Amino acid sequence: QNTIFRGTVTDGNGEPLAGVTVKFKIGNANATNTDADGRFNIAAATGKPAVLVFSIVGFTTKEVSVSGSTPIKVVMQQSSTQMNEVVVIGYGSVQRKDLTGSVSSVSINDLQKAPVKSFDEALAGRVAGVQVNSFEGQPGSAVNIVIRGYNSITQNNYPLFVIDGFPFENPTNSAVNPLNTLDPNDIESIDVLKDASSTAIYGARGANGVIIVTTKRGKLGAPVIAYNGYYGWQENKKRQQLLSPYEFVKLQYEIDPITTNSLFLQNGARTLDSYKDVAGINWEDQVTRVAPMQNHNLSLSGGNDKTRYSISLSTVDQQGIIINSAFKRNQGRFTIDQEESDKLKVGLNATYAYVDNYGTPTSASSSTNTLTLLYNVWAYRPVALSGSDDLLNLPRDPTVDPTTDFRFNPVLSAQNELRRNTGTNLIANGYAEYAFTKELKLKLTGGISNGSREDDVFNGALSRVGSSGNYKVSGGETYTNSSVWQTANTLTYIKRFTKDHLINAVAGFTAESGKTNIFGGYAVLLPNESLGLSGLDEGTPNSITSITSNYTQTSFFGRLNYNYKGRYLFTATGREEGSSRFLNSHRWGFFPSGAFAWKFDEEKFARSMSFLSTGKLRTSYGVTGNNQIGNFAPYASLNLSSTSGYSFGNATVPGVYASSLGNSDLKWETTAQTDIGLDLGFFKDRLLFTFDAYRKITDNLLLNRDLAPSTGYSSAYQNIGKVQNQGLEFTLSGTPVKTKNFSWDASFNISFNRNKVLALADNQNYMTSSQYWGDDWVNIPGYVAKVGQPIAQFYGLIYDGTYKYDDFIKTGNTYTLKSNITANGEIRANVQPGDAKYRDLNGDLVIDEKDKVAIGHPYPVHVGGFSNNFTYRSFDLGVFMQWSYGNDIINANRLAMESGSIYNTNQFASYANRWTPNNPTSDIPAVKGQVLKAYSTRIIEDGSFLRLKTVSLGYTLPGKFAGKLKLKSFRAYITAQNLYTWTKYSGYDPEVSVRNSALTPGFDYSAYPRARTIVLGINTTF
Amino acid sequence: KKFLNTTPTDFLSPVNYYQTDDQINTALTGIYDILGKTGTYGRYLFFEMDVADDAFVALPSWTQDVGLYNYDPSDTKINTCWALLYQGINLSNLVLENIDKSALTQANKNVAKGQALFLRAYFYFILTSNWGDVPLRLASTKSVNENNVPRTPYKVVYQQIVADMEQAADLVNPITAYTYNSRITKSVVWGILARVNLKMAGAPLRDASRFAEAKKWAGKVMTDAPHALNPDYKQVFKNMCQHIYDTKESIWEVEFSIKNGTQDEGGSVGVINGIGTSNATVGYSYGAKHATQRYYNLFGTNDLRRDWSIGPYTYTSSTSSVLIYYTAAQIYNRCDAKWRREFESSTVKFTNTSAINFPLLRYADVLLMYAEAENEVNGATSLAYNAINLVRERAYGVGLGLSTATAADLTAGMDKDTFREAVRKERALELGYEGLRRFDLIRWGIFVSTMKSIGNEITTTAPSGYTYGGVSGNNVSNRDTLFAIPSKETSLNSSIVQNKGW
Repeated sequence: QNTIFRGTVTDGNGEPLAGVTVKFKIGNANATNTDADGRFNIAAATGKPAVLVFSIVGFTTKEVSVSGSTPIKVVMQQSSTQMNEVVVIGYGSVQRKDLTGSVSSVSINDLQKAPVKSFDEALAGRVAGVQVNSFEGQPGSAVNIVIRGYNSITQNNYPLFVIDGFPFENPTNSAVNPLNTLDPNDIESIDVLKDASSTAIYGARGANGVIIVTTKRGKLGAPVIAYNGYYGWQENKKRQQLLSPYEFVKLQYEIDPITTNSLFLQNGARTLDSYKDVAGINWEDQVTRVAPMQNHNLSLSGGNDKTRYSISLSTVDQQGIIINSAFKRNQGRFTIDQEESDKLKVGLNATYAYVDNYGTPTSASSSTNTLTLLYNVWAYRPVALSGSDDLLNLPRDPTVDPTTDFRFNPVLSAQNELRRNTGTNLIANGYAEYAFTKELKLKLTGGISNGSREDDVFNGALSRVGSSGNYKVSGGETYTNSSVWQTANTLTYIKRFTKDHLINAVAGFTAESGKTNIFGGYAVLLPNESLGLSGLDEGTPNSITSITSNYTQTSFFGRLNYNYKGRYLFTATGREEGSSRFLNSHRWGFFPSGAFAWKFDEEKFARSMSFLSTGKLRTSYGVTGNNQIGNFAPYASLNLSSTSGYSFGNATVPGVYASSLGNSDLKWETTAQTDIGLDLGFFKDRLLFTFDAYRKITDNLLLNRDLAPSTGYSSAYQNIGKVQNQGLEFTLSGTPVKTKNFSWDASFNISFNRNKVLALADNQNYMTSSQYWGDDWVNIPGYVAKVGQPIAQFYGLIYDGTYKYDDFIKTGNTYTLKSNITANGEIRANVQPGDAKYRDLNGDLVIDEKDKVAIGHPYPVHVGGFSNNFTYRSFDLGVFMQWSYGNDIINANRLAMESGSIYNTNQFASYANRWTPNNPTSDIPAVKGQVLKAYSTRIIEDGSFLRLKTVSLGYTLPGKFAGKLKLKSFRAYITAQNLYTWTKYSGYDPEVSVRNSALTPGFDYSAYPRARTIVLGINTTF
Repeated sequence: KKFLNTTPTDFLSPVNYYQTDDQINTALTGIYDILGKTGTYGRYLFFEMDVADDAFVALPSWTQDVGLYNYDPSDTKINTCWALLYQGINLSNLVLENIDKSALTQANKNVAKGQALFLRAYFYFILTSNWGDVPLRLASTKSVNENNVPRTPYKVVYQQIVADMEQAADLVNPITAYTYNSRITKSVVWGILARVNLKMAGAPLRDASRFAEAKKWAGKVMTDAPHALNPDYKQVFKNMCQHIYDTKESIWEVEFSIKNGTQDEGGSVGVINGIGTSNATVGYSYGAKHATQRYYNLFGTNDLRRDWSIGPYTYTSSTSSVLIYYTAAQIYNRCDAKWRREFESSTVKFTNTSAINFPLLRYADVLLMYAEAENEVNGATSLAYNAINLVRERAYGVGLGLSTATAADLTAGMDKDTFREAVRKERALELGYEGLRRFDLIRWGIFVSTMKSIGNEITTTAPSGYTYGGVSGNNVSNRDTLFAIPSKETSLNSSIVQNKGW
C-alpha cells in the first residue's frame, strides 16, 4: 500500500512557497511540485520512512526525513545569491528579485579595495550606466558623476545623493562636500537608481538619477574591534617631453636671431652646439614628488537583540604629487539602533568630519593662460645664460618682459601661495519606527547637515601676486556656513490579501530647508609676511564678501507595489513637489511613474529549462524633474559691488548694476524616461545577466541662455530646449571557477549612451560655447551643440598641415600666396611657407567662421569595467579594469606648447620637428606660423583608454594562527591604483576634463597629473 | 504653503528700488561707472580703439588685435566695449522709467533725469560712431524674449541722440553747481552736442546743415558758462594726474578714484600709455603707445605741446627719478606722455592701474569745434580766427610770457579750404592721444587714406626696430571706418546683420 506524505512549504517569513520540487532522495522516481499555497502530497511505494528532498531556485535545498501520515511543515531558507540581496530604494528596500525598476548595486568589497580618500573616486566602471570622470588628479578635486547621459545643458547633471536617508542635491557645491567626509571603509552599500520608476519617488530631483549610500551600523553579536589601514606612495611617472637645451636655443634663434645672439650665444662666446652638452633644468622634477598617502580606520561595533551600536574613527592623509598640495580628513561616526518595544524602534547616526584641502589648482587661472602652474613648468626657460644666472631661485626669468609675459618661477609660486580650504561637517539623522499592526508601520525621520568651510588665500612676497601686481603681500579668509534640515515621514502598509495578492504601499511627506551664509574679507599690502593670515588686520582692507541665500522644498508622495502570484509585479509612484525656487503657479510639479515586471522563470515553460534560474522582464515609464538653479533665479536683481561705484570730486559713491534680468516664468525641467530591462540567471544564479535599454527626453530645460549683449545682460534663465539620451547597458557577472581551494568571481559591465539635442532656444539650430582658459579664447567657441547631434562636440577648423613652397609664387626672396590658394585667416600678404593651413570648406579663399565645423566628439561611445576576484587558499587577488572608448580630447596644452611664437618659451619636444626650410615637409607650423587663434583638428586627440585601475593582492592569516595572535582575523595586502593605462593620448592622462560642464567636456589645459598609488595595508579584527 | 515663500536676502529688487534721493544717486552712479571700465575710457577707447596716425601700438609681440586692425568679430575688446555701453544704456533706461515714481522733488528729478538721458545718448553716440547702425533700445530689457532687435539706421540714432541731449541740456545743473568735472553739466551737454553735430555734418551722414548747430552749441559753452583756457598746457594734464579740478578748462573728465590706497575704479591712463618704465617710484608704465615721426614733425619748433604730448625722456629703472633724454634721432622711441605717473598724487602707485583722470571734453576742443563750424558756415571769419588763436597762443606760452601773440597766431587771411586744413592740424596738435584722432579722421572722410600712408611711411622709413609699427596702417582697408559688430551680438541676436566687409 502506498503511503502519502503531505505537508506545506514556507519561506523564512512564513509565506507559502509555490513550485518547490519535492522528490525522494533514493529509490523512488516520484516527484511533485508544491501548489500555490505551498502544499504538496507525494506517494511512496512502501510504508517505510524516507528522505524527501525539497528544492527551488533561490533557496537552499533541504532534506527532511518523513515517516508518518502527519502533515509536515517545511521551512526553506533563502540561499544567499545576488537575487536575494536587499536593495535599498527610495523610502524602503526590496529584494533584488522583486525589483521592477532599474537599480544597480555597487560591489562594496571590490570598491573598498581601492586606496582612495572617498568612494566617488573608485566608482568609475563599477556600474553600467554610471559614467564617472575625475577631472584631474589633484587630491580633493571634484569627481563628475553622470547617470545615463547629460540631461541638462547648462545646469548641474549631478545625481541626487541620498546618504542614510538624507538627500544631497549637489554635493560638490556644498560648503563641505559630504562625499569627502565619508571613509569608504564605513560604507555598507551603494545602490544606484537609474530608471524613472525607481527615481520618481524622489520626484523633483530624480531626473539625474539617485545614488543611495548606506553606512555601516551595528550588527548582532559580540563586540568587534576592527582596524583597517594602509600606507603608500603616489607618483606620476609620465613626463611631458620638452625641447632639449640645444633644441630650445635653436628655436630661440629662429624666433629672434638678434636677441639670441646676444643672450644665449653671448655675441659669439658660445655657439649653438655648446648647448648640446648642457643638462638644463627639469622644472617638472622640481615641482613634482613622490607623495605619501595613508588611511587608518578603527571601529567598534556590536549589539544584542535590543541594542546595536557602532563607533568608528578614521584619518586619511593624501599628499599631492605636486609640492604643497594635499587632502586630509579626520572623521568620527557613531550609530545606535534601539528596540524600545515590539512596536517601537529608534535610532540615530552621526558623522563629524574635518577636511583640509590645499594647493593651488593647476588648471585654474583668472585671465591669461600663462598664469597656470603647468604652463610655467613646461614653458620656463630650461637653461642658464651664465654661471651667475640663478634661474631656480629668481622669481622671474630676467630675460622675459614682465609687461607682456606673466611667467613666474613655478617652484616659488607653488611654495609661496596658499590656497586652502578647511571645513567641518556634521551630519546627524534620527528615526523612530512604530508598528501599529504587523502590516502598518509609521516611520519618522529627521536630520541635519551643518557644514562650515574656511577658504584661505595668501600670497607671499615670492609668489606671483606678491612679487608683482598691485597688491603685493595679500590674503583673505572667507567663511561659508550652510545648514540644511530635512524630515521624511512615511507610512508603510504591507499586506497579503489572498495567496496571490501582495500589496506594499508607502505614503509620505517630506520637508527640507537650507540656508547658506558666506562672509569673508581680503586685505592687501600686508607689511609683515611672517604673520601670515594673522597679519591681515595690518594691511589695507580691500574687499568684504557677504552673501546669504536660502531655499525650502516640500513634497507628498506615494508608491504602490502590487505582486500577483509572485510573477507579475506592478509599481506606481507619484510625487507632488513644491520648491521655493519657482514662483506662483510654477511652484508645484507632479512626477508620476509606473512599472511592470514579469518573472517568467516562474512560468511553466521556463521550469523545463533547468539551466535558467532567474528570468525577469521589466518595463517602466515615468517623469522626473530638476530644479537645479540658483535659489533666487526668477527674480530680477540689482547689486552693488566694489567695482560698480564711481567717484565724484575724489569722493567714492556706490553704484548699482543690474545683476540679473530674472524670469518669473521659470518652471521645472522635466525628464520622461522609458526603460526596458531583462534579468537572467543561469545555473542557480551562478551566472547573472542584466540588460537595460532606455530613452530619456528632457524638456523645458532650465537653460542659462546667453543673451545678446545689447539687452544689457549676458545671460538669463529660461525653460527652453529639449535633449534626448538613449542607451544600452549590459552587466554580466558570475563565478566561472569555484573549487575548494580556488575561486574566480568576475563581473563585467558595458554601457552605451547616445545624446542628442532635439531643440534649442529661439529656433536656433546650434549654439556654441567657449572655455575661458585665457586671453581671447573666451570669444572663440571650441564647442557646438547642434540640433540632432550631441550637446557637446568640439568645434573649429580642419587642419590641413602647413603651407608648402608649391603654394607660393617666389619673387626675389618674398613668397606670395598663389591666388587660388586660401589664406589661413591672416592678412593674405602675411601668409608664408610653413604657416598653419586650414581647410576652406566654402571655397571663398578665406578662412573664417563659415569654415568651422564639428571636429570631435567628447562623449565616449561606450564605457565600462571588468572586475575579477581570485582566491587561492589564503591568497586573494583583485584585478579591476576600467575603460572609455571613442571619446576625443581637446589638448589645449599644445596650442600653447607647439606654437613657437613667444620668445624664450620652451615647447613640447614634438615641436623640434616643426616646419623649417630644412624640414619643408613637416606639418607642424613653423615658428610664428600660427597667428590665427583657432581650435583645429590638429589638437583633437583620441581620448580612449583602458586602465588597469586597481590591483590588490592579499593574504589572510588562517584562523588558527590568527587565534594564537589573539586576532579574530588578519589580512595583509598590497594594492596598486592606476597601475597602467593604455591610451594614444599624448597628455598626462586621458581621464581629464578641466573646467568641465555638460557643454564643455574633454578639455585639457594644465591639468593636475594623475598619480599611480601603491599601498601596503592590513585589515584586522580583534 | 507659506513654507515655500522665501525672501531674497542678498540683492535689491528693481521693482521697489528708485525711491529715495540716495537710491537714485546710487543708480546714476552705476551709469557713470560704465565710463571708467577697462572696456571704455579705462583703456580701450583711448588705446586699442583709437589707433590712428599720431601713434602706433608699441607691442611688437602682438600679432592680432583690434588695435592692429587685424582681428575678427570675436575680438574680446570690441565685445567688451559693446556690452558695457549697452549695460549703461539699460541702466539709464531703468532710471528713466522709474524716476517719475520716485519721491524726489521735481528739481532733483530733473537733474537726475537729465544725466540719465545724456549718458544714454552719449553711449549711443560712441556706439554709432564706431559701429554705424546699432540696435536702438529705449526701454529697459524686461524679458528674455526681448533678445532679437534689428539695427536702427544711424540717421535715426543720431536724431535720437540730439533730441535726448537737447532735452538733457535744459534739465542738468550748470557747471558752477560743482567744484569738480565728472558730473554731466550744461557745459558738458552743450559741448558734446557740438561734437555730435560736427560728426553728423561729416562722414557718414554728411548733413552740412549741422555745422550751424555745432557752432550754436560750441558758442553757448563760450558765452553762457565761465570757461577759459588754463594758461599752462602742461598743467591741464598734471591736474588730471593730481585730481585737481580746473572746471574752467577741463569740462568733463572720467574720474578714476583713489580710495584708501586701493583702487576700486582703476584706469590705465598713464599705465598702458605714458612713459614706459618699470620704475615703481615713478609708477609702472607699459609705454605701449609710441609717437610717429609724422606726428612729431607736425609741431612747430616752439610749440610747447610737442614735448609734453610726446615724451622727450625716459627714466632709469632704479628708484631715483633721473631723466634720460632721447637723442634727436630717437623719435619712434618716444611715448605718448600726456599723462605722466611721476605727477600722480595717489599714495600708492599700482602696477597695472592708475588714479589718473581722462578728459572727455576740454575747452580747447570747444574753441576748435567752434572755429571749424564757423569756417564751414561763414568761412574764415574773425570769430573763427579768434577761437583757434586762443588755443595757439596758449600752446606757445603767450600767457606765460614765452612768446608773443603775433608769433603764435595763425597766418591771417586764409580762405575757407586753407583754414579748414589749419583747424584739422590744430586739432591733431592740441587733442592728440585724447581718444579723438580716429574719430576726427573718419568724420573728415580721410581715415583710410591717412592710415595707408602712415603704414607705408613707418614700414619704409622707421628704424629697423620699429618698422613693425606700420602694421596697423598696412592692415586698414575700407571696412575699417567701422568696427565689426561683435560676434556675441551677431550669434545671439538673430535680427542683426554684420557690417560690410566682415
